[in-house]
Amino acid sequence: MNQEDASQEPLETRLANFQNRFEALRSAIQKAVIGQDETVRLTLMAMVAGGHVLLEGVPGLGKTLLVKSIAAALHLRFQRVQFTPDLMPSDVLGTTLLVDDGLGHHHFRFEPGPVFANVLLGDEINRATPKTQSALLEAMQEGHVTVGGETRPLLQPFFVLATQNPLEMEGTYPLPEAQMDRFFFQIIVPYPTEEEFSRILELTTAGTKPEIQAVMTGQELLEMRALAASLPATETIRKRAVRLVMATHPDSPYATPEIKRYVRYGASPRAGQACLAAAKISAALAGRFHVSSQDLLSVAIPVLRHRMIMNFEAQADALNADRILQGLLAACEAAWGKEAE
Amino acid sequence: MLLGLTVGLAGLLVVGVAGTLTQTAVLAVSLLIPILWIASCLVILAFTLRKPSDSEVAKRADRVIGLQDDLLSLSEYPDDIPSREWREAAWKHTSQAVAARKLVWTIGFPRRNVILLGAAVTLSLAGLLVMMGQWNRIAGQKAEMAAKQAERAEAAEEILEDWEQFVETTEDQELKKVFAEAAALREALNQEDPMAAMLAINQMEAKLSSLQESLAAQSMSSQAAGIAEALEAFEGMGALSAALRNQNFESAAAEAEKLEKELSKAGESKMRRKEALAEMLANESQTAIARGNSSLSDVLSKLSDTAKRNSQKGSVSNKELQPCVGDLCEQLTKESTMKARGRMAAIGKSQLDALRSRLRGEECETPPSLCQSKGASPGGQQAGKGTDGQPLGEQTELAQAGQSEKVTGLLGEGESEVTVSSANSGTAAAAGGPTKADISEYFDLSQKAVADEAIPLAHRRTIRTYFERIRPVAETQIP
Repeated sequence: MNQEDASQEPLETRLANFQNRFEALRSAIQKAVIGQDETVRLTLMAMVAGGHVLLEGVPGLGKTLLVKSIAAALHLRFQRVQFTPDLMPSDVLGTTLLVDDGLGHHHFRFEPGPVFANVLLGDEINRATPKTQSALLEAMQEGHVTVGGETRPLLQPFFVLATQNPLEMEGTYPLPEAQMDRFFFQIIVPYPTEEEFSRILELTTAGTKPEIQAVMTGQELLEMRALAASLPATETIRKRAVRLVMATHPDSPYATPEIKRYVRYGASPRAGQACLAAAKISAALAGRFHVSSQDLLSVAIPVLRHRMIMNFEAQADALNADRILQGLLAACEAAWGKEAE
Repeated sequence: MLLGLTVGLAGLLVVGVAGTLTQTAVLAVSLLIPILWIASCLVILAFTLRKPSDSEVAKRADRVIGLQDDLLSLSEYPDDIPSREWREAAWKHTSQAVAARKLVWTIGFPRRNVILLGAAVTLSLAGLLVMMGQWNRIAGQKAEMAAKQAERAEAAEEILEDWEQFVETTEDQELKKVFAEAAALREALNQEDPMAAMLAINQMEAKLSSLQESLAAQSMSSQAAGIAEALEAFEGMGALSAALRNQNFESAAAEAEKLEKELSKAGESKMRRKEALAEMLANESQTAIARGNSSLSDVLSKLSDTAKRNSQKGSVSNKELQPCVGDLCEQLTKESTMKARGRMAAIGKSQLDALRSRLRGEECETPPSLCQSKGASPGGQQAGKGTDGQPLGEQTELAQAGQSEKVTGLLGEGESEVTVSSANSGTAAAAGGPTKADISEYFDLSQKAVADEAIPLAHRRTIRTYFERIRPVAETQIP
């Protein structure tokens, strides 16, 4: 079924297909990734929305496995870059080589780097220098890279999945705010539960590897993205998304007392875009034909947590962005509920 | 609404501050307060009655129905072509969601009606429970009242049977006539009308009171002491006089009868206080006639005349004295009968009192029986079988306190005076009294000895310790 045929189907059918594909993808990934339901769900949501994900978690929680599984389930090209302090931008983007054609002529040939893939895993991204980290900026935001004065488009869909380790901060280069802002979600990978841990051991020590079937093509993923993006958001929802993002700024009239006290800088407008895009996917996954306030609230924390810069007082009081955002979401929910009274 | 309240409260605050600042502001305050209050109320009213926007209505409807911004989104979807498809699908989806919630019942049967119905059912059940409780309580009360009524009837029956038995056995016609009313009283009690029973009891009590009053008017009890003192002057009338002084008319009558027999023999009886005797008897005669007891007055008058006639002689012949004593015996017998009759009336009244208390549901002591008290009446078939109210007999009179006697005479050389006291003439005192006094005295002596005489220090301590140890508890407070 091509794209034109698909657009002629009833909207209910397309939305049902959207849900089914997402569920199939999730089930395929979770054959290899035990537990981590919310991590998988959020990662896939970001991927459908066309965003990039920053996974944060201690080593051994299956971050790399998750990315590999996604690539396998989508039948997409996968590249992995292990970020180290001596990694150069050209190691990521590619480089131009002087090539002899055997006739005595020399010409430059572009050797593409690992960024030319559908799914790029940037492992331990905070271990590379800011120069190398910045090399990803254009790729992540614009979908193309410029090397040797020539702009080269990336494959579509293009999805960067970076990981970083909250431990061992010595010798690392924390991601600059501008680069953090380019990540659609920051997902905290939790430690598996006891039951999940047991299943992981059972699965990984039996000598067999789960075989992941490709359940979706890149084209289908792009169709899902288009369908979710076409889901309209009403004016009230847009205003609420705006106020939610503006409330993360300490000088905003919507800011909570905690935000005024502990936050140095709030989220950028790109956070609002991400919030609404993710809310649309959440609504589509719920089978709704409109975005609700609950959709906004459900995706707000992974969208906003890495876009807020906490001040020194927050660090002194051992407060993180999640805790501040929980208070903000409760305040928003109460305020929106009052509007209906 | 909050805006209106805020305006009102702010106005009141401003007014309060202004009022505390100047006296002239008081007048302005008194005008400003109602104006601000009315204004704030109008603001609230306007805010409440204003027409809500479509968006507000949609938000409220979503909240009431429990939808996730479905109606709000429908009301705000733009009219462009791409959105139309979504709006139609959203409308269909919302319709299904609303239908699934079965809102027909919610709209047709509002929550208020559900609450009212629930409250009505709850109140009805509560009322039913209370009524059932009341019914049980009333039934219990009725049963209790019936039991008490039966108990009272039984108690009344006991009294009435006592009366009937008394009527059958007594020889006193007047008492028989009074207590024959038992049948009428039973009839009143059997009506189960408390008022009728009370009325019958009151009537019966009035009769008994009337009887007691007539007996009291004729009684010679108030004159018994005076008559006894006068009769004591006649030789041989000591026992009669003593019985009269003790108000024991039955015994007095017996003594008089015995004396009358003795006076039938020829002889003379001496009289003491010759001059005063006739006057004393005449005075008692006057008192008796003043009280309306002419027969007693006649007897006393005769005795007075007899004493007066023989005052010079100092004695009176038995032949002359015998008819007077015979008349006196008759009076005493009559008085004795009246006393018994009065006692029966009193017992009857106490029985009626007890009966009244029981009818009122009050606790009371068991009243005495008429039949058991008949032994006090003179004669009768039950004489000697009952008690006169003192079943244990007369109270034993202990010996009177000893009297001091003073013997004056010669004992050896010179005049001496000896006082002899009987054993029981001493005043009662606690056993420890003399001991305390003695110890106190000894204590003083020892203090004095310790102070005056050269007693070694160690010995002084020993003496002090000794007296402290033997000192009674009360004495320790003596410095």
